[in-house]
Amino acid sequence: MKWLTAILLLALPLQAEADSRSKISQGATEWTAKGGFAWSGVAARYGVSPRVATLAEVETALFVRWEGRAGLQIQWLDSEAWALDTTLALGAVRQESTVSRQGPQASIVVRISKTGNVEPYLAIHNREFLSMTSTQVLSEEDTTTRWETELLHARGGTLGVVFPTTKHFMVDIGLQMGSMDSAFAIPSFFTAVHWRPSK
Amino acid sequence: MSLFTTKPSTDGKPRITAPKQWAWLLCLAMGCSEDPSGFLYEEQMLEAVDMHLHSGEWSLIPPSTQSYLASNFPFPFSLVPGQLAEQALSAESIVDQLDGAGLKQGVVFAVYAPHSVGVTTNEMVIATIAEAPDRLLGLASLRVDNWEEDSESELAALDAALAHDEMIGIKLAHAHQHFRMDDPAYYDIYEIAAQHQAPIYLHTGPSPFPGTMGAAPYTDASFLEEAIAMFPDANFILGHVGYDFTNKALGTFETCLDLATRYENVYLEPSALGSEGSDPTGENYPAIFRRALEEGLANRMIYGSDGPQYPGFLASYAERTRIAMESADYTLEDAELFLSGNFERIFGLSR
Repeated sequence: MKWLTAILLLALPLQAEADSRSKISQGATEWTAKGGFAWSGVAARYGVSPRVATLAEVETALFVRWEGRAGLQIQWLDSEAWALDTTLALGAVRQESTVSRQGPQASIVVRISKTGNVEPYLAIHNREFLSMTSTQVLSEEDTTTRWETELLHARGGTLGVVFPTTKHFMVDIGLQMGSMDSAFAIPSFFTAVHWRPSK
Repeated sequence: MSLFTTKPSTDGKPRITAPKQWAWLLCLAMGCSEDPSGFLYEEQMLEAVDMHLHSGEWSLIPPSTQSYLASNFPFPFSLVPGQLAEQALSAESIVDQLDGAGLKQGVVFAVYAPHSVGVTTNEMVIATIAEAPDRLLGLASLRVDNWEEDSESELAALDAALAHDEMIGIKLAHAHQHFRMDDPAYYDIYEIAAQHQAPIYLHTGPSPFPGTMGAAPYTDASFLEEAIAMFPDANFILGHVGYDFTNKALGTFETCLDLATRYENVYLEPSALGSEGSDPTGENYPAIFRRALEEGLANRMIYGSDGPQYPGFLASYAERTRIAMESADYTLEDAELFLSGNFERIFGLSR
């Protein structure tokens, strides 16, 4: 019963302060914590102009693969009905597992949402990752290092919904499908909490 | 092939393909078990035995092969492949897959290939079988990588393993174990096989696994002919029938057919090659059944899958096998021989 009450409370569309769910106004900050399978992470956004925000994000998949990135979010449209934005980011990947990977990554996310107090959205992402592998060959004379690179992509989409729970907090629930490292990935899901302290 | 066999895509990288993706999802969500009711062919339920299965421990697989295998797991399971692999290789999981495919029994292989596909000891196989003795049997094997010094003790260990009733044959993979098919130094193995009336399963054809020998003396069954002729009391099962997994082609299949035509003690086992990854056009697997029929070798074909590979693989392979047999106009009698009759006859197992 307590769980049911909690779910109903979460689903109740309270009015949050400030902008639409995707947009962040100039001078405002948003902090995000995300948990789920397989990805968890933290992120921060800061509105540098009415249409542009900077962001920094660290994500981990099962605490084995780590991805960090920083970039810009540009708001193209923020009407009463729809919002459209693009996020461009650069970062790095490090994976320490049976298959180890490391290297730089470039990312673009295009997100369209139906604006309102409860805001469903679709975000399409494409991340290009230059995996760099070094092999050391030890011989009697010397040691040589050989670098190999491989361009891998992660492409897919996220279907989610953002809704406020209190004046400063919003909850974001999503399902992500697509590829990872140019191969099929099991769909992932997440719940995120966004916190927008008053300016 | 061996544990969690993966077939490379055209760019040489292992790729998980669409049916596998959904098999993963469905089996993870719902489980793969069905009633072990039998293998349906031409509206008849037939008994079927999968003579090529693997169990084992992830830690006994070399790192390069672990990486290769992990690449076949969908993200994020590719990040933690060991746990998933060991679960899939357990007796419980294997029996679950046998049930899902409608198979009566399976045969688990011991493997001693420390520089390629890894090690599954005879003792590990015996322990796996002990968990499901009514469903599992085993093939024993032996190390050959220090043969000059260890041959006597290794042969004695093989002899001891074959003394277990559930260990019904011998598994060898020259390409994975790095010894030539025509090297007489190893012929004592066939002598033991003949003494125990234990058929010998031999991997034939090129293998994509790291650390595998690809040259003809390790992969081409024609290099086995001397041993086949020398040991008529030993039955030789040519695993994968010479299939070229690297190029997804029939490879030296015709050589295997030729040997089976000329020698009574040669059998053919087309495992792994019929999977979607290894036969993407779906033409090679039926061609093998067709050619076997043309050569009058229906009584030499033995069913194996090379599972468990991934959740749902045994059921998928059984279905592709049914389609291939139908495509090749296999009769009900031919199918019965292939699925269990030939296996039970040469391994001396009564119904």
